[in-house]
Amino acid sequence: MRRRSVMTGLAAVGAGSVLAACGSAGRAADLPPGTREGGELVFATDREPTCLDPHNSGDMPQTYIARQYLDSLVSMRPDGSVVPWLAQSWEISEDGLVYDFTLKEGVRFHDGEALDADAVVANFDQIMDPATQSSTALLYLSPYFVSAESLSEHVVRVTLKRPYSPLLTVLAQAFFGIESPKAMGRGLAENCELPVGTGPFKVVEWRRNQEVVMVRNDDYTSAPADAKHQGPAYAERLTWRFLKDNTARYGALASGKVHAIFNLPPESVPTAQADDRIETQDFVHSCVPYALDLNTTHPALSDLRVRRALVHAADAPGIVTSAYAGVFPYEGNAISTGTPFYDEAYHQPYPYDEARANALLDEAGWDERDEEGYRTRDGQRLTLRLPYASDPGETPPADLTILQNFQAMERRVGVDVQLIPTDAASLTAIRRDPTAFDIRGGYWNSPTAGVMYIKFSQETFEIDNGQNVSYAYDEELDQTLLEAAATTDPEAQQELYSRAQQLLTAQAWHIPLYPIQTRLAIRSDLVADIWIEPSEGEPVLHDAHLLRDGDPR
Amino acid sequence: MTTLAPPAPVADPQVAPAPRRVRRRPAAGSLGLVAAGTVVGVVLLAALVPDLLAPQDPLEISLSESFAPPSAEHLFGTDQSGRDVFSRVIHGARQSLVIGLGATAIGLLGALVLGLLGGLGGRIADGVVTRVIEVLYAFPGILLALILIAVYGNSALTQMVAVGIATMPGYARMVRGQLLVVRGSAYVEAARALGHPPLRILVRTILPNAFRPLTVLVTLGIGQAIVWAAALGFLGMGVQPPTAEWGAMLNAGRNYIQQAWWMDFFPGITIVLFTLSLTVLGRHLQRATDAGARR
Amino acid sequence: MTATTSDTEPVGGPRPPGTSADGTPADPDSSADGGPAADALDPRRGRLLARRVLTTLGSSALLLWAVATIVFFLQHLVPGDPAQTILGGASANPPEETLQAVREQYGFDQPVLVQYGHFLAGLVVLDLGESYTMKQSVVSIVAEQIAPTLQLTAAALMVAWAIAIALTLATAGRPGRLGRIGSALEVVFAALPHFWLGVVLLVVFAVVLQWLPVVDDGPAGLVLPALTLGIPLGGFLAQVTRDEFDVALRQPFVLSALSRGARPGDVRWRQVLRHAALPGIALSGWGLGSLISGAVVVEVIFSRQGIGQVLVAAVTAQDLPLVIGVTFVVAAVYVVANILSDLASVLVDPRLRHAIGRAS
Repeated sequence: MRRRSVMTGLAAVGAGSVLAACGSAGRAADLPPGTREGGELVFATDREPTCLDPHNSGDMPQTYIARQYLDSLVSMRPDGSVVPWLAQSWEISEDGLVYDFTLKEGVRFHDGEALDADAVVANFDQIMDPATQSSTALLYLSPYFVSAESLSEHVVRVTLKRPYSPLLTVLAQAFFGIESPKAMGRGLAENCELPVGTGPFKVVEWRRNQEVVMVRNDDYTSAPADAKHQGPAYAERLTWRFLKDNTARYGALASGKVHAIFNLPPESVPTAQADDRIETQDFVHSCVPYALDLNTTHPALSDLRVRRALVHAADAPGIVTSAYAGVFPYEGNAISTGTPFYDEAYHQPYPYDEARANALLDEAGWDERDEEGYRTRDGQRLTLRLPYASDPGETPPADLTILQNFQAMERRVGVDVQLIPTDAASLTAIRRDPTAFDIRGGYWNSPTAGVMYIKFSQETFEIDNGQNVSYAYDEELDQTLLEAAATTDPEAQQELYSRAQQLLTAQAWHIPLYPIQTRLAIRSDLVADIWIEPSEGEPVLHDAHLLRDGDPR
Repeated sequence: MTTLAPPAPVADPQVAPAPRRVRRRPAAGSLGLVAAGTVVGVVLLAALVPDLLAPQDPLEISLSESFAPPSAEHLFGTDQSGRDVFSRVIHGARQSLVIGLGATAIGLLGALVLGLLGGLGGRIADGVVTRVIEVLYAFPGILLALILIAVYGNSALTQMVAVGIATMPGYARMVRGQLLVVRGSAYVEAARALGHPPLRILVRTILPNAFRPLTVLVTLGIGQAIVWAAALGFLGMGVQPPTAEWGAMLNAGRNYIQQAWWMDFFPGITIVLFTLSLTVLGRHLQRATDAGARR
Repeated sequence: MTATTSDTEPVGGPRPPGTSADGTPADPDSSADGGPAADALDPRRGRLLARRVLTTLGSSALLLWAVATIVFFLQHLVPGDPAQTILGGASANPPEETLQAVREQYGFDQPVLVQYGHFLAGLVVLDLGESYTMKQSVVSIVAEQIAPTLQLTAAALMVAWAIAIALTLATAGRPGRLGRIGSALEVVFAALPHFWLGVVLLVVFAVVLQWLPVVDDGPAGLVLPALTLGIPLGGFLAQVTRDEFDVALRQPFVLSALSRGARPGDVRWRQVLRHAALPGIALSGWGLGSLISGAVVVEVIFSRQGIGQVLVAAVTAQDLPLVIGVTFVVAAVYVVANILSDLASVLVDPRLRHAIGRAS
């Protein structure tokens, strides 16, 4: 028996912006006051994506930029609900296994192809195709996805093998942005350079190490229901610049060369706050926080006592606060405060306690010391290798400080942590080799609390691609998470997810540090209406408009 | 990345300007010499017995004291982890000096081999050696270092070898040139005419005269090698953090320059003072060498 | 105490054309502008010149080949899988089949010598391959990025010369404190490391005082980087030039010019400086090469585009084609720079024209 759950009502949200004006004829009427028409919006960020097609790989910089030129099926709201975007309505079957999406009509890709059900199906196919190497697909969809098919020109049916209540929020990410099948057909290499979507901007050129140039899509008609306005973007040109040096990036903002920056450097926060022209926006992602994952295949780390000792000795709150000058909050839970069903009871499961750490390590048998003061057992020193990206764009100075502080704190209890700067290619190899590292830093962004399953489940462990960095799993944890994914009752979900957090933190498979955030610094005297969407903290520039000189918002 | 050319204008054989003349007035004066000597002495001491001079453990962190400005307790302030910058600068001296001296030694050794081959071998050998030197010169020094580090990993040894190979051509040219000149000099001809065995001529006459100007070159070259090594550290290609090394400290300090200028200033000024002192010493040495007879 | 000529033995090996063994330049009056015209048309000199040009070109080509070969083989010693570099990225996780496909496509599983053969073949037609990380042809990357670096080094060279000339003219040969201050200043300048000077200048002038932009593509953004590179080189050139200036000042022609009523300033500027500049000019060829390597650090500090920062990124990412490409170009620039400085020496000192053709 099908249950009709029509969501079109929500299309009325954002009332008042139902104007579907495209082209400049009706534009003057709906420009926000003080706007300078057209112009070039310059946005600077620190990390450059490796590929502009977000279906490939699945790294954060990709989703941030892809939001500007790709639309997704639905858009997520801060409260966890979703509103129509390319899919203007959908029906979910009673058993939660079948989703029928009705697509908006009359939408075209930048290359002129029509957005129809076949196109969406082609997207699912490409994402799920191993050749595309989508880590997002692998972990978000593979465990659940069966097929996608066109029921009619504008209706797509997605069938799952087991219920997955977070599916809609997952589809809201730019990682699942819809691309033109014709463009995808050119092959991955070309699609990485110039992907084609339906979004408010189109990619014109990618100058490596410098910037990505985009121009306005004048025929844009497919803004999400929660956009601040419908219709084409205000800015004529969007330049996405890469400035990985913190001083340079902030300096460019302060001097007005760029209008907004991603990742306001922590050391510049006081200056930014003191500056009236600069507005800051912070958004805590739904994620597994950035943490030091402990590889349980190491003989010492397979022992729960050793893992707990490491967390007790680390003084994670202290090192995070000092390295980030208080700008980043500490998080000791397996998920962040921005994640639905976060339970603050598990915010700091293991407080800083050097004595306890020492006691646990002694108990675990590492009670002898060598000449340099490090613990040994049977003549073997307790050494843990921690490789990290040597590229300062990947490991910013504050993270490097955290690693060094962690090393110093563990040294106090006799644990030898070795920091090993590693280049990108070697890191890729290390990722899949459990014998090559003992601790690795990492995080995982996802709009759902099911992110715990993505990272720590047995299923992920068996895929054996290094995503389950601890090489460990717990059956009860997996069961709890699967149940939570199957139900749509919020109370039941909260109970189950809380239990999951309890189980996970009890295992101490990782040492959480801080949640991933999107932190924008914006010249509010130059540009207005940049906002952050909640599924992955993507900055939205469709609504942004440059201000006329001296005209305050 | 090198601040100095083939060390000191006078020393580069290719473009040596007019021979050094005794100045009408000594330029830096004995005050300068004393100051330079002191600086070099202190740095040497720091390299040999850092624990004697450094008040604190360079690796020990103190989160509550991070970014503390210079004070009585922390002469050069503290860094982002609360480590004492002064102690780190002291310990960094050993890193830098070891790499600088090691690199110079490697450079000299290589230069000796090349120079001897070129200066004393036949025309063909000389031709080959000149070409080799040219090739080495054509590598921007830092490139060779970068590649070697990529191959063998970040370590003091790689830095040393890389910098050593980069300094080699400068020394080699000088050695070869000197040998050529001295070999043809009247003094050597006289010795040959007197029937002295060639080996004795080589060891007693040619080598000492050829290498005398090298001492000056080397004094300046050590400074250059240290700067070079620090540049690599600055680019993140040196020793692994958190080991104290001047270049790496400058790299880290760069990020926090607005809130903690001392993190960048003190290691930097140390390098400058040390290099300066070596230059001053070198020039004094040069003047002393020139003033004496060279035949 | 009058100046004494020290021993006439040169300090180093073969001297460059233009400086005779005993350091005494010929009377410059006879070589005011252009030497005896008849000589220039001598066919024998023309042939010698041509031969010299050809030899230079030949040895330059050899040099470049040697550089490229060395870099090629050195990078092949690098542990690590270039296929990973090509497919890799921060969170990439390519499956083995894809890696193998890439290996075959690029020929990594072929023996080294075969790969070297392909590499040489490409080198001849100036096809330097494709960058592993940037997925663009190396030639296009270098072409794009070399202009800012050359701009920077040219600007830095100008700054260096301006400093050298200013310091020399103002303080060389002058009695008392002025001379010593000038000399001391030069030594200090030459001792300043780029990586420290750059940061200090950036913070003081761009961040704190905000007189100059932190990051800028245009001329304003060139000022601080050019100063960072130019000041140390300027100090060094100043030392060289000053020494030569001091020597030249004591030459008889200076005395005779002054006794004929020429003003000291004119004499210093027109006659003496020409002599003094010679070794500096000859050094400029080398200087330009070293400026390019200094540009690596400066481009990092000031977040400037340029082949210096491309090189650092390429080596860290083990991007072999890009490393070779940049090395090649830098070596080529060095060779060209040296040829140019040789030519410039000739222009400044007409006596050198007589020296053309004689082996140096």
